[in-house]
Amino acid sequence: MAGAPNQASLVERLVFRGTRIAALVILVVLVAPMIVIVPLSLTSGTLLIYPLPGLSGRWYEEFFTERLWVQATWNSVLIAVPTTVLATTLGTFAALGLNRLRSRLVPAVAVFLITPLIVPVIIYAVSAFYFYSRLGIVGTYPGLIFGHTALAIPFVVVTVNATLKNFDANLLRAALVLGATPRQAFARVTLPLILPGVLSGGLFAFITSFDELILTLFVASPEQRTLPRQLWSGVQETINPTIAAAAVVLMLVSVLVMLLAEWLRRQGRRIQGKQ
Amino acid sequence: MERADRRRELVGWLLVAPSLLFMAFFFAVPIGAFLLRSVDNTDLVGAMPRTMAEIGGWNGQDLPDESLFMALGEDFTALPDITAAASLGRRLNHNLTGYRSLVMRTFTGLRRHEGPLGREALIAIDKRWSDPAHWRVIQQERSWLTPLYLLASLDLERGPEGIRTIPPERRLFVDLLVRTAWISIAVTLLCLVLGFPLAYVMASSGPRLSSWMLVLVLLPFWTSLLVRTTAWIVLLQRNGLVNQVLERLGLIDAPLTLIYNRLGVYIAMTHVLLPFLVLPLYSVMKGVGGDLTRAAAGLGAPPSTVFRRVYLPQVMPGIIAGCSLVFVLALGYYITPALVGGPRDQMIAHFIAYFTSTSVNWGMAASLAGILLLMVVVLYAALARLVGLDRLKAR
Amino acid sequence: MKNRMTPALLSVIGVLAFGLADRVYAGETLRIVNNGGAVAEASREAWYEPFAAERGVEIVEDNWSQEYARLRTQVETGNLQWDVVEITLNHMSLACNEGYIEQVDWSEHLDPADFADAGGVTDCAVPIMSVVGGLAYDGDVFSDNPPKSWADFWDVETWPGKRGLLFRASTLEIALMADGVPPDQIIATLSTPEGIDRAFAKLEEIRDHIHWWRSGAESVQILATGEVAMAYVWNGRVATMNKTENRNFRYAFEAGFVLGNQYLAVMAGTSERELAIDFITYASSAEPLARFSNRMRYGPPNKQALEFVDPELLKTLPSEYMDKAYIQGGEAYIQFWIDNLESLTQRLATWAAQ
Repeated sequence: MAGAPNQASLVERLVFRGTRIAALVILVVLVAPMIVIVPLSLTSGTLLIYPLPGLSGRWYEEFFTERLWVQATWNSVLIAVPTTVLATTLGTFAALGLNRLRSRLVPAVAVFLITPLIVPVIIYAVSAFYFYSRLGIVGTYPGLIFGHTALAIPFVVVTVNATLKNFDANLLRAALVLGATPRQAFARVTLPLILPGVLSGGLFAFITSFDELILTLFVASPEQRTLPRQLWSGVQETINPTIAAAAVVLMLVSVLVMLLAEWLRRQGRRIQGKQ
Repeated sequence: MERADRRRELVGWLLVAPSLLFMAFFFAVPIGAFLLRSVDNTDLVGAMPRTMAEIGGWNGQDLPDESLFMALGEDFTALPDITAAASLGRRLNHNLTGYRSLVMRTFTGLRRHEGPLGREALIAIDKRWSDPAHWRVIQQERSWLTPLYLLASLDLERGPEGIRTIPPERRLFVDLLVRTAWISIAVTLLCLVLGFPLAYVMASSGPRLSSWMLVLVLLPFWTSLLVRTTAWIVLLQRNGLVNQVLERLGLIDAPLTLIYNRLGVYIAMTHVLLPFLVLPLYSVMKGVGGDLTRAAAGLGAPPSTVFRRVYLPQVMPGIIAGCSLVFVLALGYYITPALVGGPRDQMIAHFIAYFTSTSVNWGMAASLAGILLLMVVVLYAALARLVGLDRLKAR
Repeated sequence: MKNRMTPALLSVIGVLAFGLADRVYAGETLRIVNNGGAVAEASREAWYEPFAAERGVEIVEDNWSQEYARLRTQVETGNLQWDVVEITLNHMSLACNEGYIEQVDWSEHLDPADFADAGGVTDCAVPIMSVVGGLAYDGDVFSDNPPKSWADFWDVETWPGKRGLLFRASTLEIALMADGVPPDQIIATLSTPEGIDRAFAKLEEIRDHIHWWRSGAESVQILATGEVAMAYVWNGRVATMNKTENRNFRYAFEAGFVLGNQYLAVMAGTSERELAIDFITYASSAEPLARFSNRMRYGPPNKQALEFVDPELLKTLPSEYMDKAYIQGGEAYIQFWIDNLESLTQRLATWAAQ
């Protein structure tokens, strides 16, 4: 069945062809919704419906000049960048540590560090809201940054860990034998080799925070309205094409991050392949 | 050597420690503290210390004696302000509807009241105090822990003769749990039906085509869930593109209702979750060599038999991993049903949010969160046994 | 590698620090929550921007759909996110009664007599818009056979399509109106358990045809996109939509309609109490209020504002059908909602989800 067999019967060939067509259709359906929204962001009308009455950049203009949207974009960056730095640092350290440890506790620690991937975000969001309100950090930038960092750390741990799994420890040993100090060996051997992993972990962290909505809904005050938060109220209220423009901007950021991550993955494979 | 090992371990723990502490403080502790609210009764017991101390001695049938009335009166007068009274009333209202107004009336009545506190004074303010039912609620809730919310999350309550189901007009949560599970199962099956052929074709195509297809699967995977849900609103609304195309093709006369109902939830959630099934399935299918299937076909087995007996068992781990991932993620969904569903299509997460931000009933929110978490953890544990946890990495 | 990274890193940190500093060292801020959508836009133009400029303060806006608990959690947990709240009469009465909004002696700041005709200022709040809620439909869709009564609204056979209703307990009042209860009997009927059951039974009749809306913006949006055939909508939203989008939405005022005020109140315990009072005084004074009314097409509750109001606006108000009006207000109304707002909100949520 796998790999088109030569002596395939007619029925078999039909099934095979049918599967391919079905897969194609499914792929189109998977991607189409996101394509569909792009022209709508350029409509000259005020409703999110086809056919477009004409083309206009007014919704992008509104997105880039209207105070609420500008502030939301700015807020998203202000929260995502510190989150990325914090989560990448903590997560990379943790992954390095996990790889070093021989303790029997390692699997338990690893599972603990990735629990945010398992626990439904809504539970974390309401818990954080409850907890933050006791600490008095609801509606503060640090509160949001810490919350997003907890959600982002697992991605960094998993990504860096995967890189370290492929890491050839002989290289490190060779460097040490050749007289490098541990610090030099880390800076010259370990770091360059795991850097693609660390950076893609960072990208994961960035996009986790940049796209995060549920936690933000609960622990952010109006001052910290982020782009997804603003888009959420837009979708629930004034469904005007500014939300299409905002969606396109969010999508572009995602695509950019995805391409970077994919490039880093290939880069990482190349560096490690050279060993 | 041993010293070097110990040093190695120490450095390892030092590297892990910051994340561990961070996650403990900002993730585990908040969730733990929140879940405790599902049985926590300290707000109520703390607000009525004198009454709670006295009421253990009451027989639960007759009108309580003077000292209990006195204790209640003193507790009420000791409340710092009307906001505290409102909280207390609302808390007791969780047990018995109407309690809120009783507390508020008593509180304001006592403020104006002069002379001795006691039975006469309280009953004069509100005659409901002469009804033992109101006292039984307090007696029932005199412990620091309460089963009230956990029971209520299963449409149960404590009656005079033990646990019983609540009246039908208030019943909701058993249905809600069933609905949540059902939507998750349906979405998982839809994802499997759509994801299997897609993953199969990706795995059996040449490297170039397959990597292009992978990019197309990854694109929605990386795109914000909110953006994808928004896109579906645009597509499925009454005069959206789907209805327009169907009408243009002459397939329908009037626009179909595709959104703000269950159908919209199925469509949008399947779309959002499909990559989570395709990716693990694809990686397993790619690892399955053609040798076995070719051998079986070479031995004369018909294609359907080869598929069922040889191919399917080999890719089963991928199916199980993908399906469970989709199912577990679906259980906790909030944003998508909120935007494309109607009130009868909301899942458990919606009510966790509702009890937190619309009705501030921490006990109910925490109970439902506990039930959801239990479902998720049990599934993951079963799954980790079955296929190993490292296959379950999301995104 | 290191040398190439450092300047980039420093500039990122610099930009971030600048951004944060901008937020930390800003002057006084006043945080106002409104009903969102067109109301938010009109408030921004008529009130927020001029007031911010005049006083040199920053105004941060948020919106809500009268989810009472959002008010309550902030006060109970001590995390105030708002200083000024735009609130409906029933929520306002409850919040004032429970101490979630501040009691203010408004006579020190304005002349209460100016507001007397429109229901008056209360212990806590000042009315800032008189809102008419009624049966609205798209005049281009139902041109020859428009709906004329709430019975028509319930008649999904003759007028097919969904019906937009406000997802709040106050919709029970509409349900009773549709069931033939005269306006002056509505609260009395709702005050009995049978009356409440009757209202829910009426909603049950069209359960599958109801599209619940939560914010004013959504109510006109679903009408505009054809998602619903008719909806209960507030007049300002319809008037704004007709004006800015050239739509032909119409009201069946003869069916009976609801008349009620929106208020501005000060959040309990806010550190900006004085500034909040100043803002409310400003917003409810003649010219700013008229500016808002002209933009948003709601009647101004301050009679001094009438002389600045666009005469066209007054023509859109249902003055000739006042005998059909259900006026939200009065002692019985306030007491009923203080006692029942939360339990009925809960019951509606449960009913809708069942």
